[in-house]
Amino acid sequence: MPLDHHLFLEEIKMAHRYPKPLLDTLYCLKDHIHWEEEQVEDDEYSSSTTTTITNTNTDTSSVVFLEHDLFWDREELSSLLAKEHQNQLSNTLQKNLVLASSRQEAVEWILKVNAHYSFSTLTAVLAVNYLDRFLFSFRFQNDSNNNPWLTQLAAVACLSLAAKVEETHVPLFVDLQVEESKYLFEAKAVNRMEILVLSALGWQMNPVTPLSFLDYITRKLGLKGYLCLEFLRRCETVLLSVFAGEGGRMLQADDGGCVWVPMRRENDPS
Amino acid sequence: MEKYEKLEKVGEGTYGKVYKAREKASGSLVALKKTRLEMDEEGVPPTALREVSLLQLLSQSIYIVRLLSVEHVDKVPKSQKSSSNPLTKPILYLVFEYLDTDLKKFIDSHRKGPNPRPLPPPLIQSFLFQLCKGVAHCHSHGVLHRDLKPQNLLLDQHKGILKIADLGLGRAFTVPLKSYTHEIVTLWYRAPEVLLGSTHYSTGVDIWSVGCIFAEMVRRQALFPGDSEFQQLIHIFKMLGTPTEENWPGVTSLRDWHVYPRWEPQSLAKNVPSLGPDGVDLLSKMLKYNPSERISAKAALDHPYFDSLDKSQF
Repeated sequence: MPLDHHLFLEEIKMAHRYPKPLLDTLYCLKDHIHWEEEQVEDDEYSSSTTTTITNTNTDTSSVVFLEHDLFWDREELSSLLAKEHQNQLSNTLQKNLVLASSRQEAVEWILKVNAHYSFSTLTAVLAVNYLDRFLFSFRFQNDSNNNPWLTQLAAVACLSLAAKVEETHVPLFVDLQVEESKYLFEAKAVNRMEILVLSALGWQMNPVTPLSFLDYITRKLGLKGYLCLEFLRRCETVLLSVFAGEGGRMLQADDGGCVWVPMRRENDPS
Repeated sequence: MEKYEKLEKVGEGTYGKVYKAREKASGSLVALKKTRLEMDEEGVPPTALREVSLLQLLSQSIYIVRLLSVEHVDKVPKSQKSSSNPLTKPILYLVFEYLDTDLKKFIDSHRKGPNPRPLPPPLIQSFLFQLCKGVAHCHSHGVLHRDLKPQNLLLDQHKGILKIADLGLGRAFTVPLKSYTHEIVTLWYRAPEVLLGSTHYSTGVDIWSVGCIFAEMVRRQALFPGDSEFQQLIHIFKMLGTPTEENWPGVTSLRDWHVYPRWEPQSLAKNVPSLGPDGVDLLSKMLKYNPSERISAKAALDHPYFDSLDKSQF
């Protein structure tokens, strides 16, 4: 039976779309014991990593992983790819260094608050997605040149919206601004910015994200229990590193003994 | 909002009032769901945010009510209209296609009033099929509805169309499941794993609700009408038997499990006497205690109960 080359190549293409640190994580699939021996670096993101580990350990015994949650559909990957949109912000940032700088500060702020409240990785991914899409909307770009505080206000609104979509408990606007920032916005301003962001994004707040593909890969590989959680934790750590713009800083997957494990699929008799 | 003429208030959703209205330009009817955005400390309510976003994810299905637009309005209170600097109150309107009734009203009209009569079996079959179609669409897009009940199932009586509405408590889910809110689903339609305090639940919670709705269409009254979480569990256990580690591994470890009287299961068929054996079988598969054994919406569509239904119309 021939492999389904089309979808297989799509998977390879998807894998290559992400930077090497993500591939490094995939290299380690067969060497998961090594992960347990890792030491957590004592740096400014260690609290996030530590928190994630704690959550993972707490959840492992209680997660009920249903068989039909492992079900995957042939069309699912194609559907995810079709829904995904290219992030065109990178071109804009290369030409607009002021915006790039304030975006970087905003993303770092989002990640710190995310860690502070032990929000999920998906909350952080969503918040950064909203911020990037909002910054790319043409109406906003001109304003942000003159008012760098607008990017920070947008970051507060985006994190608030992401928490509302994904978390079960959402702090008030004032409580959300826990990490040091040049600005402290009053509730009314964040309220208005939320509406502005929602309008600019067409209220589409459940986009396809890298985690959507991780979700697919996990089910495809049939990983269960501890190994599944460990795999996801590793991938989520990599994603947060990439977002922080310091690829590899939190990554501990440089063991030379790892080997590439190509993703294989069942032969399709049709 | 000048585009619409409000006609009458027709109900309340998860988070706001619902009005019947007419779009002035086209003359077509719409439903306006209104929510105030005056909680300055909290901003846009999560319920409104999730509903709009999830509806856009699900918009291709004809079994999900269609969201036509979102209108943000700054309303000036009457007492300040003469003021030079009025304090505006922001209001959000969700504009939906209009359907004339819901399943609860429809069932009630067959139970009381001048002409009590059962719902015709082919109609129950058709409504249940459309409901399973809609739920399968939600689940295949990674969305839990989490508040399925007859009031949230809108009907076009003349065309025999059923649509799922009110995703205010809905949410996107991913694998592995994470800790979710406990108090979801209206009590009568709430799955036992939620009642027993599990926060790691999944698509099965919607299937349990579908099973309760299925039985309610047949009986014309609720299957498990509890008035507290404890009473809700008692209703379920008395009919289906108290769950055990044998038929539901892990049940005694759930957070809110206690020692309960050991009831034996009653005959499910006796509780839905006009339902044939295929229907009873499908219902029993929807009301399995163990969520992993509960039938999926997609699998339900292939169940023999629907064999006599002309599926070409869907």
